[in-house]
Amino acid sequence: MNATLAIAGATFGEAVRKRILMVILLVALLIILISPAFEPFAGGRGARTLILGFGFGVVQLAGTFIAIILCTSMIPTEIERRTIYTILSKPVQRYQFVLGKFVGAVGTLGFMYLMMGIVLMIASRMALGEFDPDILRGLIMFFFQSSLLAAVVLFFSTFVSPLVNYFLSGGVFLLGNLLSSFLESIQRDPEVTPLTRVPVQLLTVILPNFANFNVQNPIMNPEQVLTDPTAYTVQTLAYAVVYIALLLIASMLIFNQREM
Amino acid sequence: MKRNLNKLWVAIVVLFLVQAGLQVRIFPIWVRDYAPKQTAPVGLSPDQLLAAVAGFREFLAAILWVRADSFFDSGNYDAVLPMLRLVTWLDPHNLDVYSTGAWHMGYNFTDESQRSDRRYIPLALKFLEEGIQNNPAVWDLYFEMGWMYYHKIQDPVNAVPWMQIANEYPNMIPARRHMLAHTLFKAGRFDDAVDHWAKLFLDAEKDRGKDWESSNLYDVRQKNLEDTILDLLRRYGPNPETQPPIDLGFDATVKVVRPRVLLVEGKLGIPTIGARVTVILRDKGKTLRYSPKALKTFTLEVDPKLTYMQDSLAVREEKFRREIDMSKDPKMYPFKAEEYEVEFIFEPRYASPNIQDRIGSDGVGMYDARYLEEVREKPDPVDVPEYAKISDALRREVENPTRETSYYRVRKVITLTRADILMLGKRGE
Repeated sequence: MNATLAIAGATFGEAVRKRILMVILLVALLIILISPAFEPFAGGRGARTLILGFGFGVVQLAGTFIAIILCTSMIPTEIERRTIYTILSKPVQRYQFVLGKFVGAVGTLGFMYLMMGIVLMIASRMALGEFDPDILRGLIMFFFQSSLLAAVVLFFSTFVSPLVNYFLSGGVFLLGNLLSSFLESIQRDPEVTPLTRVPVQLLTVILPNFANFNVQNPIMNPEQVLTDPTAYTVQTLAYAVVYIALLLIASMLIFNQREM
Repeated sequence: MKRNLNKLWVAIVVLFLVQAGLQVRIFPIWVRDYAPKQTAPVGLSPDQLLAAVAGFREFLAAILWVRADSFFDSGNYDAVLPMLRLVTWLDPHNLDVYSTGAWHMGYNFTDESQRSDRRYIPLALKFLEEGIQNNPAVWDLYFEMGWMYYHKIQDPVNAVPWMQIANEYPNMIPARRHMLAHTLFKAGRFDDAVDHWAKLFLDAEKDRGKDWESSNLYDVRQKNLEDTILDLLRRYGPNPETQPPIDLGFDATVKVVRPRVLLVEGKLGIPTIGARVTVILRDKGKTLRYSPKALKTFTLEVDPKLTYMQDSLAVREEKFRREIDMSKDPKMYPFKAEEYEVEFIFEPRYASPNIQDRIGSDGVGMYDARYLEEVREKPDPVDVPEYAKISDALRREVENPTRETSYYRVRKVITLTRADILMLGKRGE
């Protein structure tokens, strides 16, 4: 456990020193901070959608980039620099190494989400004159979405090169965001045959479903009545935790078999 | 080691099954509450599409909606329609877009004389239906649909089911609940209208002294309840003012004075001001079906070959007369059919209260030797979304309507040919 935490701490320290991640964070913070400037373009109800839509969009995009950039190079860099031999020569198991890396990445994401969340809250308070606690729910869901993406990237990084990983993870993220919408639309279309529907249904169950975490729409449209937002949040977070655990175990298994 | 590996493989399988189970549970809730609903990114440029995919859907929708507003302000109404399509694709839960968009389609496309292009009304209804399907748990769009029937189409019978559905939502704005009573009254369901006013009055009585707003609501409802009962007593009580029936002596004529310009005139024996006669010119045998079901899917296009003109003529000293110029709007009045029907209708349901006191809200106090007819109506079945929060009894009632009401009206139809209207061969087109 100590070894895992030590690796996590080192990963976190290394990540916050990475200039590219800090630049992404800084740009995101600045953009969110200027979002109240949109207020005059659309009064009242429109301003809420404009400002929160922009804020959530920036947070989600920054979170996605940070997760992919951070995790793509985490393990390959250690192998490339040969620092992994130093680490693994100590009483550190390979699974502890993978777990530590992931915990460090999630810690970094948590720190960045905290920063962006605080700025988004300040910006929305400035522009809309109210603090909406639902914004917090949206941010938590995005944080778990990014954490799941980090697990996907880490999983791929155990057996593909960083360049391939960028495209692979990006593709899975895109697909995981669109599959549910696609399935929903073909389920509504009576002309779609089971031959088309069943493979999509299977893919929706197999691939990580990132669309589950996109809950920003009802936050921007508060008139919308949700069935049971708490139950939905709990189930979705449980889904994220289970899928992350699944990916981490798979990563550990693959990394364990890998020749160094 | 191998045993541990086996355990990990078992764990992977178990976790996979658990996540699949969770996903199967989450998906229906996601579809109901969070799904974007539309998937065809029609009309989005690649950069807009990228922004939408990258998590800026609502932001992009808000920007487009602001842009649509500027088009609206500059009178570029045609440009607003594709914007509506895009905005609702990106943000299907923005109720303002649905209600404003439907209002825009229903009311703002007009000819030079401010007559609505009524071919857009089915589009507006379809658009609202789509909004309702995407937001079934919110009362607003059911009300908007009811209002479109009540006010624009002047079809209170089909407005009733939508108003009833909206009325079942506990968070509906209190004053908006009054519309159900007004609609029931106009639809000829007088007992139900009184019952609804009484219910609203009793509800308001509970909070009467709470604040100024509640006291005002109580006063308004009390007055409306009393007025409704008094109206009914005057019109249908022991000594009804609607008897004996008044002879309308209704008649109407049409004369083509220039190509695409009609002079319509006639008489209606209502001995007080405020009566209005509706005149409709349309392709013979073709009526506009005012129903969301008239279209399979929402479209931005109206039938370019269909001519449909509707106007309302004021009656003064028992006569009406107007020159209707359709020559300046060839897109709205294409005159492609060979024959046209000009229909003149006077019906009492939307007449002013002083006229209704004499002829009745349903026309029992009017008579005409030639053109009087009884209209029997029941509402079209409504496709209530699965997740609408209404009682089973109301769902059954609106999905399979059985309640029929009737009223009297006078109606005269005159047939004209295309050659007549375009004055072909008579120094016309």
